[in-house]
Amino acid sequence: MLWLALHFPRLCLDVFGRSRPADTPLAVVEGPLLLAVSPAAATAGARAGMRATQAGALCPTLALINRDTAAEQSALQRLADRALHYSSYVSLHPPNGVILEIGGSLRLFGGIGALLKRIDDDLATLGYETARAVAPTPGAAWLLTLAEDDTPVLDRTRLRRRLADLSCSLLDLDTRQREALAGLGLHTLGDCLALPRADLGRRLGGDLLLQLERALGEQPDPRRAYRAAHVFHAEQPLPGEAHEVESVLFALQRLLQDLAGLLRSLEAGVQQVDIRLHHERRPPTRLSAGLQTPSRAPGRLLAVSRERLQRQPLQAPVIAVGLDAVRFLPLAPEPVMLLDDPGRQHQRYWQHLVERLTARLGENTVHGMETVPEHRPERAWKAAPPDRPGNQQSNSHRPLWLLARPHLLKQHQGRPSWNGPLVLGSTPERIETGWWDGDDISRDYYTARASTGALIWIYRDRRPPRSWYLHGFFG
Amino acid sequence: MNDTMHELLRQPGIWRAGTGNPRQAAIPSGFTELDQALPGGGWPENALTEVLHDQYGIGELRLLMPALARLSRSGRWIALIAPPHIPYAPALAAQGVDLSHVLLVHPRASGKGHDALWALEQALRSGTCAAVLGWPAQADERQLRRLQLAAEAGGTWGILFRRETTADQSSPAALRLRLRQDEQGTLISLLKCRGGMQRQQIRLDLDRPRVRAMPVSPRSCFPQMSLPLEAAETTPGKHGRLRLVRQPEKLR
Repeated sequence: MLWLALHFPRLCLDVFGRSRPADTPLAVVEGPLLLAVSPAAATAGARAGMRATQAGALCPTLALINRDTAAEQSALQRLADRALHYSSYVSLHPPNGVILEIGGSLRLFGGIGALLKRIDDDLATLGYETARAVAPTPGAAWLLTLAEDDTPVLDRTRLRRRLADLSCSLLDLDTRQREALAGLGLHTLGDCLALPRADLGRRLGGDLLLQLERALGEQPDPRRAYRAAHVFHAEQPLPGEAHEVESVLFALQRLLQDLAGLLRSLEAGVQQVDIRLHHERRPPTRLSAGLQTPSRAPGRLLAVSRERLQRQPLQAPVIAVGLDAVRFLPLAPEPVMLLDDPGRQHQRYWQHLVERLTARLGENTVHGMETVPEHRPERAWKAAPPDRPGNQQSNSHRPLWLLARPHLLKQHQGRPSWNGPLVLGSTPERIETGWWDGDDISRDYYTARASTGALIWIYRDRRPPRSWYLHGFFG
Repeated sequence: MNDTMHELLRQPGIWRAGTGNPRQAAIPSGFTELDQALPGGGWPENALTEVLHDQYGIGELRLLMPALARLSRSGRWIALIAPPHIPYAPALAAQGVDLSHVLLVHPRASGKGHDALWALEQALRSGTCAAVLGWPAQADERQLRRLQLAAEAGGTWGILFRRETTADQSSPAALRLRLRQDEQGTLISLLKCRGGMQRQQIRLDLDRPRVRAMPVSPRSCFPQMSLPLEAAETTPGKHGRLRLVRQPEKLR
């Protein structure tokens, strides 16, 4: 077994900070004290543990935000969702760690170096500050991340030596235990391990000994495996009120990346995402963006969401963005073709095109067409979903343009006229049908040549008042 | 001197050896006379074509049908954006167009037609459409240039249908033609033709293309009865064969 521990030391800050530019001075407060500060705020002189008033004096532009533990918890779950892509055994280490077993993944990802590089690249896109360490036991891996020692320990025989240098302050101890350690002059884990185990346990409490033995792998260290839920609900608070779509999209992009991470671990895709825009003192705006086929590509989801958001202006300033996806559909990874088949590629892109058009123009504005076996010209065709092979009955006596509503023609000396007199073709076509649904017609259709040269399709209603109508153009 | 040069280069009949490619890729139009007049032997591929006409029903669609029928079977799409009337499916099928590769887009009429231009650009640029037909309410030169660039980027043949009054407006389209119908038939005037001779006039018989694509499924689900009708007294016109389609006896 080989364990990778991921520690997010600034999680309480990053849940807010990753939705705004990196150079914003930002601090999270809990009670009167600062809990964490952004690099920009640290440059200005603010430090964690400082009083908020003092920090405000040092850095006037500093934005103070109250700690949000629920957001941290949900962010940690999102990170665990993503970690499931690299291992089937992922465990949460609250409040700000994730530990995963990677020994079983090494062969798949091509060795420890390649795996760690992929994880690093993945984490870099997320906007969380991260420390990581690899060790044969989960406890040791966690201690090493706290010590910010990222050289992997692959061998259990070296574990003892590597742990010996670590400071005792990294252990999870209470105040009494810390004082006892200091009183005994024990500063490093090596100092503790040099003492007889039974004495150490009696003097400093059993859990200290247990922590050490688990880190060394001498005691079992069971971890509860994290199971990803098959739904996605997440919210990204915005650091301030957003008035423009672009700032909303920036936060939304983060959420979509999280969603993509979860979907990838579950080998699933979504066909619809619901976006919530939260406002101050009014109910949230709800929008949904749909896809033609299930997908988990964040870029594709973002493109559709962008068009959807731009279709209507923001109703009020936005303070938080939420993303929900409930129906996960199975989606196998896309096979990589050695020679890319252009037909397949077009197949992919037309769906993207239809999604973008639909998102911006609205539902029912983009469709395909098919013919219907029906004599009434208005009903001989219908809009159909694109790319569904439907009926294609041809009729060469029909015009290429049909008017949505027949246009009543004037009559001149009993003959129909449209921009002047019409010359009628000699063979009328009678269509008399539809009595069974009450929408029956009885018409004689003619091809006619207008004086302007246009070839048009007209009919005479056979029922009183026997009017003439224009119904199409031979375009 | 420089101004004179620029003035000269603006003439559509003159093109630079480096930029103008006389052997540009072309889509056969299906009409021999037209193919002979167009440089490359057909409609300019990856570029805009403008069809200027003031009337509907003078062959503005039939002119394109042989080419569109072929392109609809190429695996890419034919998109119709903001058509003024219903493009009638049975007639399109009769012209040989594969309906399963036709995309109809109806942008909202509001918003000054910006949605239509946006949709046109998206469709042209996406590369998934072989041809995009658009009826923009209005378009200035800057917007047309965007569309021309999108057509080049997506490798798409863009066709814009516009009024004859826009003929004076300058346009980056590779081909502009004016379509009219008079007593002798269909008259096409080439107003601008990149890499070709200017101001040609061609007469075409649009109902007799050189090649005609067969409908995708030629079988019809009901036979059309063609009966000699003695009693044609209710219909005007000469005596002759009435093509009659009738349902079973009325029960009312």
